[in-house]
Amino acid sequence: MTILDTLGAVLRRTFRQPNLVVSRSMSAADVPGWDSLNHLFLVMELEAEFDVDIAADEVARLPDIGALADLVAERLARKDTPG
Amino acid sequence: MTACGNRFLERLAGILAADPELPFVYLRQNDAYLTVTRSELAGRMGAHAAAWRAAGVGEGDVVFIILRHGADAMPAFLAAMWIGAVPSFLPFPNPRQDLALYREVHATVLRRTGAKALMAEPDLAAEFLNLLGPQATAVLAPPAVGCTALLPPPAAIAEEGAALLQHSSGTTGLKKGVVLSYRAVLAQLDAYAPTLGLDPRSCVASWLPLYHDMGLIACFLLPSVSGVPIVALDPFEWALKPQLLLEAIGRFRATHVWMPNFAFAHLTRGVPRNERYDLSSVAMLIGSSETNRGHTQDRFLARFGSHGLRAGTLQTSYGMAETVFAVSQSQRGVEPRRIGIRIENACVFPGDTELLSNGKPLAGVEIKVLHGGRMRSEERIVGELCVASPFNFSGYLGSGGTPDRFHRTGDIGFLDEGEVFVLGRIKDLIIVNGRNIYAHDVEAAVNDVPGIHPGRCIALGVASDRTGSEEIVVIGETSAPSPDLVAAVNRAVLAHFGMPCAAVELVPPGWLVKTTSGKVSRERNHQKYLIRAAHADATP
Repeated sequence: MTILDTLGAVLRRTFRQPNLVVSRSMSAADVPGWDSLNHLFLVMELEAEFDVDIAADEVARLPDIGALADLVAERLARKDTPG
Repeated sequence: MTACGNRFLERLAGILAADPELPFVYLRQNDAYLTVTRSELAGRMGAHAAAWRAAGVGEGDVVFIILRHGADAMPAFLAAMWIGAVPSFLPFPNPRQDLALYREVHATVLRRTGAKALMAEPDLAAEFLNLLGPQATAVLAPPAVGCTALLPPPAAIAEEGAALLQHSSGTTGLKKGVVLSYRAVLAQLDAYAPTLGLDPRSCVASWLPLYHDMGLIACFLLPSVSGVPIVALDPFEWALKPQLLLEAIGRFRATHVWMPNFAFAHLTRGVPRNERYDLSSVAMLIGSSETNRGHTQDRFLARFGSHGLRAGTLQTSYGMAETVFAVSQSQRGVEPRRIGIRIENACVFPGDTELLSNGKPLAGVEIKVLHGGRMRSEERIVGELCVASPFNFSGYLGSGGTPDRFHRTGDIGFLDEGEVFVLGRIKDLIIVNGRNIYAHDVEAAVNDVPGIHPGRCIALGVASDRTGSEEIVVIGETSAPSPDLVAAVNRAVLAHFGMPCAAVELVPPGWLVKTTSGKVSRERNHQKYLIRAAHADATP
């Protein structure tokens, strides 16, 4: 399962959109339910799902889901790097 | 004591002059708190008063303020009142809104209201200037940072005159300015303050935007003329870090907090569990501006009771912009009453549906229930709540005429043992997180989306147990459903209102139920949606 696949599952769960199809070019504006309040819960879900630290405001600045997937990948790589 | 014949401005002048080094507001910005003393506020008000006057603003002129959370919003507003103008806050654009649409809508508001001036952030001011052209409305930015000036004596504005405008959240043609006189504002403050037990140790903490009636009246003007310091948080920052409110309460020993029901749910869900907060200073944490729900307050208390919050501090209130703010308030120190009801033929009987009382009407308030074409005073009769009070509004700006003595609220409810209970609304109004959205505005926005059959969509306000508020659900008929069309509908709503839908349901032509007159029926489609959603939840 790719990070994008897992992100899709998290987005569908967080925003209660069971039919949501996620792509890298999709942005927050494309997703019903993604408001400023639920944004916080998305970040909490992402932290729990991937076991990484992510700040809500840094996610808010990202242009699309692709950038979010890249951020998660970067955090996972950092976690796996010793020291 | 400054004597200008206007008790509101005289009280404000008295507060600014007495103990000038006391804090007026603790303003959170850039991850720190800026303390603005009363004398510093007065100095900044002086600069703002000069700026308004230089823009040609005088007594009775309507002015608008569109500023970010920061040090200028409060002095800009108070200075406008001080010189006799009639100020109104408008929301700063949400970063996710369509900015061109935002500017167009608000330029229409400025033109229609005959606004004398608009104060906006420099970048926004330049854009409005381009849009409005060299017309009647002056566009100005706040005075340079650090600029202060001696505050002149306040204007001698009669208390019957307009003090300020509050705006509803409608879009073009519907953004109605609620005109409130000084008499009404003073009557509200005099009726409401005694129920709150404000004293020299009181402190109000708020993340509410100032364009919202609860943020403006309860969390800004009331403390301003009561000598109570304010802790002001940025609403956008609070949404992402709700614990900021709890930290602020502990740090500044805040005693009074107002917020809509959804905020109780947001704090319960969103505050990290590994932190400790000291909420023991809170005397009243008041839910208002949307339906107060007992289970939301129960979860909040279960979550934060161990942080020093006491049961009797969770309170309820009922209010609206047309009555300045509060109409009723639950009793301080006492848990709001809960009753179980059922309704038959518009009469209330004991039953299983739990409702939370909004307390007794404030002094001078008379509430009747409109039912069957008659105003009824009896209790436990369900109908439209109608309010007469010493603080009813003077009318909608530009609408002409004097409003009826009893304001029809559009809310359905009843009285029981002298307390106000609200069941829902008859207006096609959706209250999302305390913000009013008109369903037909949403439908107008969605109608323009290619792929949705014209006139074949409906917007519903669906109660959410999870958010503690209502959510916008759009159902649109289409012959070509696709994820892209869902996204397009969501984007259209976001562009107009700065908030997305909670759900976009694409349905085949003919799905929406029509009335006998051929109109899409909101009520019947709401029921149909709920049945469909319940079925979907039950399907494994």
